[in-house]
Amino acid sequence: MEIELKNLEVKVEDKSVLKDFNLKIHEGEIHAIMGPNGVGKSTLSKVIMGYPNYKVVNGDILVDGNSILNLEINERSKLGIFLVYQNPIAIDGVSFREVIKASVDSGKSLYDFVKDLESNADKLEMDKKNLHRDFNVGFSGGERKKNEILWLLMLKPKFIILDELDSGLDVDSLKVVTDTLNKYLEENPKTSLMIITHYTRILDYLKPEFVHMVKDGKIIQSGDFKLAKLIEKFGYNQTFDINEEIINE
Amino acid sequence: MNKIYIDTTNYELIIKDNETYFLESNKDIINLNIIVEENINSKVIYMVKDSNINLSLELKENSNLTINTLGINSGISSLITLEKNTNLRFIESIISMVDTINKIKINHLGWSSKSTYINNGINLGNNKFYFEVDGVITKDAKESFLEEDSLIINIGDGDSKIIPNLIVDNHDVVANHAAFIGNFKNEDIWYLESRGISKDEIEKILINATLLKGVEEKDNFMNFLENNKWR
Repeated sequence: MEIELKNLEVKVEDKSVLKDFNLKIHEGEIHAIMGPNGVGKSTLSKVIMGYPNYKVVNGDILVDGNSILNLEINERSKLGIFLVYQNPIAIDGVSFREVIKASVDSGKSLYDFVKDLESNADKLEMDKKNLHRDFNVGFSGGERKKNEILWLLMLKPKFIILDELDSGLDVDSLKVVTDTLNKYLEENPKTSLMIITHYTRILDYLKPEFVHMVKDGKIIQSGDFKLAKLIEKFGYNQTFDINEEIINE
Repeated sequence: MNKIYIDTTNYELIIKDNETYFLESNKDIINLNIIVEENINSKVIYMVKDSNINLSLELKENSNLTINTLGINSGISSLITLEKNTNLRFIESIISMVDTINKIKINHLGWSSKSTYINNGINLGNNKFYFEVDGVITKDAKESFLEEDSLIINIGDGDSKIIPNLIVDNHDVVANHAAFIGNFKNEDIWYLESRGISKDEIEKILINATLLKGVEEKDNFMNFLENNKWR
């Protein structure tokens, strides 16, 4: 899936959180969006997903050339957009399996659904008992992230947004999750990926081809993987010449 | 499990064994009297539709009871008495689109009696939906524990009220109450929408979750909700 953010300006309660934001992600590309806290990285994910409290006041979001601004959240999901949340919700009283079942193709038999769910849970080295527990209730941050990736595998999206995937994941779980994602991308080469992160740790596993540094609601520099390494070494308070290193403090 | 279908207006259940009792009924008005005998540890699951229930529940010394009730368009009024060293966990779930007044009075009569009373309601229409909850701890009930937690999700434009009272006549006790009236959280709705789930399906998931919260025998409640259309 190809996604393009064109001159995007977004407001939350009359406050501008993204301004003149431009980004194009072609089919099969992996992009990383990096920036410190509060610069609009998570806003970006909610805007693409269509959260009604984030108002697009200028610009457009195009998927395969078509605007999605008039689509509801669930319609964007059905197009193939999937957001892996930084802090997934918990729902007391209903099991993880039941909630996922409501989102998958209703033409699928219960037997096939359960078989598919359990096989994907195996890929993520998950305890299958967790599928019957109340949705994310009492789960650790890492377990919730694994549940998110399990749901991703069930819905087979074409554009994936990872919002701070590595927060709450220990090193071993991060490896399992990123190995699973890499395998998914290998099997679905047209799927594109946007990684939103503070830190480079996750990028060592998912290897983005493009890295963008965000500040004050817009991209201030783009580059390849080397840009992420420079940010890791010198921080977000300057831009870089990829060869000369720091160019503007 | 003991299954009992109540088809009379007045019914008395005396529990003398450590068993689970599964009750269903279809009468408009039911006067149900449950007595849990001394030293008994039991469970009661009660599901009812289109009824008004007057429940009298008595826990004798050293007994322990978990009771889960599910009412569809039903009002449940309960008068509960707890003797010495008893433990009651009462989860009451009600979904209604007719006027529904639920009056609950829990009397802690004996020393070291414990009650946890959780009521979860869904008000579907423009009707009245009230939980009136009185928790009473008498002078003799020292070292007792009373917890009330009431929630009503107001889906329509109904008149929903929670009226809690704690009447405590002993200093050496714990008594607390929590109440919430409102709608489902937008964050929960948007999260589920972002997985392609329709608004109608999300409402169903969140209604079921509210009614099944804390319930141990979820399958029975799920089947009852599936088999009895509430809209």
